[in-house]
Amino acid sequence: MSRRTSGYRRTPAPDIKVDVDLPGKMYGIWKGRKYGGWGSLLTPAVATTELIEAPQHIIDSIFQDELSVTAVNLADLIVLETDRPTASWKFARSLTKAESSLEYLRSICEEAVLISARRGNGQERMVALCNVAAPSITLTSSDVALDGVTPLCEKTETPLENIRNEFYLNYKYSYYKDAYDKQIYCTASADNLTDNTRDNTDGYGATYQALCSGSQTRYNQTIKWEFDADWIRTDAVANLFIKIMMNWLCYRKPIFKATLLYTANSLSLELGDRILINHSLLPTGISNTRQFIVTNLTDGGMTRIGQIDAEFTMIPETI
Amino acid sequence: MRTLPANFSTGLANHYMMVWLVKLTGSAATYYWLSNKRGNTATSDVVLTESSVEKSYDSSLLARLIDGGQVSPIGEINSSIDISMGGNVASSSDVDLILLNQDRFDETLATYNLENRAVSIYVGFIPNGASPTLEVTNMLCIWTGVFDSHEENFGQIVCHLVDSRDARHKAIPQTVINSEDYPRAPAESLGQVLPILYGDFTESSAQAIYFEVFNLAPAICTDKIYNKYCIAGHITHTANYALYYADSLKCPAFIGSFDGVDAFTDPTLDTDDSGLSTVLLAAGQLIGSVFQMLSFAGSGNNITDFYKAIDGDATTYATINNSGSEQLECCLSSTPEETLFPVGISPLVPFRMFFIVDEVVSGDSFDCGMVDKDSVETNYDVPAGSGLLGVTITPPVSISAMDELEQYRYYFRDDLTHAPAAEDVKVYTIGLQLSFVLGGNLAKPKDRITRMKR
Repeated sequence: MSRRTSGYRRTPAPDIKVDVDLPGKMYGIWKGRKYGGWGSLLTPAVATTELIEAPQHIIDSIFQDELSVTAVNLADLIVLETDRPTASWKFARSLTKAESSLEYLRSICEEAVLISARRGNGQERMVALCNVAAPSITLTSSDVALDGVTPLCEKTETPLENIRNEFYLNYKYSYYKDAYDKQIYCTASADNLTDNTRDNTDGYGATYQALCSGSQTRYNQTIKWEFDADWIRTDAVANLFIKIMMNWLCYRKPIFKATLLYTANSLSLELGDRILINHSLLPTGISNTRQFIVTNLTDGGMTRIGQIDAEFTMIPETI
Repeated sequence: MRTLPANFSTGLANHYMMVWLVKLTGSAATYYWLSNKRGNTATSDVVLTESSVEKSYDSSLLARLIDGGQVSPIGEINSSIDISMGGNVASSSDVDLILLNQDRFDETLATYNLENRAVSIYVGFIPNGASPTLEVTNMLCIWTGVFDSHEENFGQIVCHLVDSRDARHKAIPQTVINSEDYPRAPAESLGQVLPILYGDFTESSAQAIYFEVFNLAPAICTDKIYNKYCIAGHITHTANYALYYADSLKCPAFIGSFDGVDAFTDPTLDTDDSGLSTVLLAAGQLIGSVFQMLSFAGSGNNITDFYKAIDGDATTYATINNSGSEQLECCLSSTPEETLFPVGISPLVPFRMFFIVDEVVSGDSFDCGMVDKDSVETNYDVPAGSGLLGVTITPPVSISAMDELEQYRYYFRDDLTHAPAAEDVKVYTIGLQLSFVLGGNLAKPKDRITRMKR
């Protein structure tokens, strides 16, 4: 007699581990690269235990630590003339994609409002877009070449198309969200700046909102500036940056173009120099008073020996 | 501005003979081409020196006259920068150099191997005197670059010199993860680079993490077997925490800390591996934890703005003004959309209570605790003190499942009987740190039931 069953059989599950994969990425709450031995060559010297945060020092580090410009040559290669207080400008970023160091350099310059230029002898040079106490060069009419009796110079303004008067800055990029955590803004009627008041030496407004509204009225248009900052992660630096950009972009700036003779003044000029121009083509209040920055230098070359074509852009009074 | 050499200024002021010098670095020698060898009152050829060492030069190559007109042998040299939209990087033009192709110099030039080697162009003035010496360091270096190419006819050679800035720069970061150097790297890491990390990726407030404010630097897995994650291909300043984030998680999960605080596991920082900054976790399971603010808060009689203790805002707070009995109560939300962990993630028993409070009344004391579904209260002491405190407490209570955790109410109260002050205790946030397994033995297959043959 056969034995009856229920007709079903239970097979116990094997005692195995099931690997539950949770696709994701690892992150760190961290502080990045420290100064190398080249920190001792800076003025003032910085210890190797310190964290690199200042934009110009990050540029130094890229040259030193990544491009193998050896420390012994630092003084010859890097010229720090930024006039940017290192204590208030602090950048942070993780470089996770292989890109040209020149592009990283460009992005630092954009967000720190620096000019990176190269001297004739190959030295790297960084200059901040800001006023300095006393420019060391004053160009005069005797530096300007003549066509007969007519000075070879002209005055124009920065293009209207470069005007911006409503500002949005996205910063504190979140690597895990792939989005910016924070935004600071200023329009003609609202802002979330830490402090909306501004130095009104230029008469464009005692607040940044007034600066924007005045620009919108003056140029009969509202044009938005929106910038994604990959290096800026703190509120303090975001405020510094957006205010400089507002002062830089809200109003057109005079441009002075001239053909210069070979003189001690003209031959001393380098891209990024801040100078005074004492010339009758410029109006009172600007001539010999306002600072210009050198933006273009062209040595005459084969057919115009001893002449330099130069272009200068006026720096806003409040920046 | 650049400083003009003293002798240069003298030459400029006195209108001495202007002279160009091109210095080229060949594979076997350095070549000096001078545009003039006589000038001013000289009765003999100029002597060229560099750092006081005499150099031989050739003054027959640089063209000065073409079709009877005087020209510079050097083409236009331009440098410019577009600052219309703010900071930027300047650019420099390439330069043409015209040589006279006398005695088929092009054939000689080809033997110099100048390509991609340094070229410098100087301008200066021949000093006055019968036997002048021209020192290179007294000339003004107006351009540097590299030699690119040349083209010639029987009359002249045009050399193309290019800006060397591009040559100075290269792609960074430079270390690419490949299967040879990193044989245990996962497939998704291959081809990626070891990051370069600059600046501060810690929040200025040490308590920011309690408010789910994260400032995270990414790391890349270099070893799947031994759980190694590289956060920078160089030595770093400070390592605080390692966190893991998956899209299915509500927020980044703490994997560990390097100081043993606020984490259930402690990874190690490996800086001996070629100077890399690497998170090295224990092999096998990953235990993570999330700081989870509570989702619901209730009020007592003397509680003001109770919701501000759970609003995620580090600047707002609830206040307790009591005499030792009132308490702020919170609990986990049980709504499905606010589930703490994604499906497939298993919460572990370990959890901690955390809170940030400010004892306004000096010497005050307070406590926290939890009440289970049967109203049984378990109380924990909070360290005494005043000022802003961020505290985590690990209750010695065994909780076996998530749903059990959700049945608890968590409380926080002023524990000292005294006359109420305006604001006895400020409660900025209150929540739980919950741990869970990121991978491993999370589920067991069901028994298999099969129908037997009759």
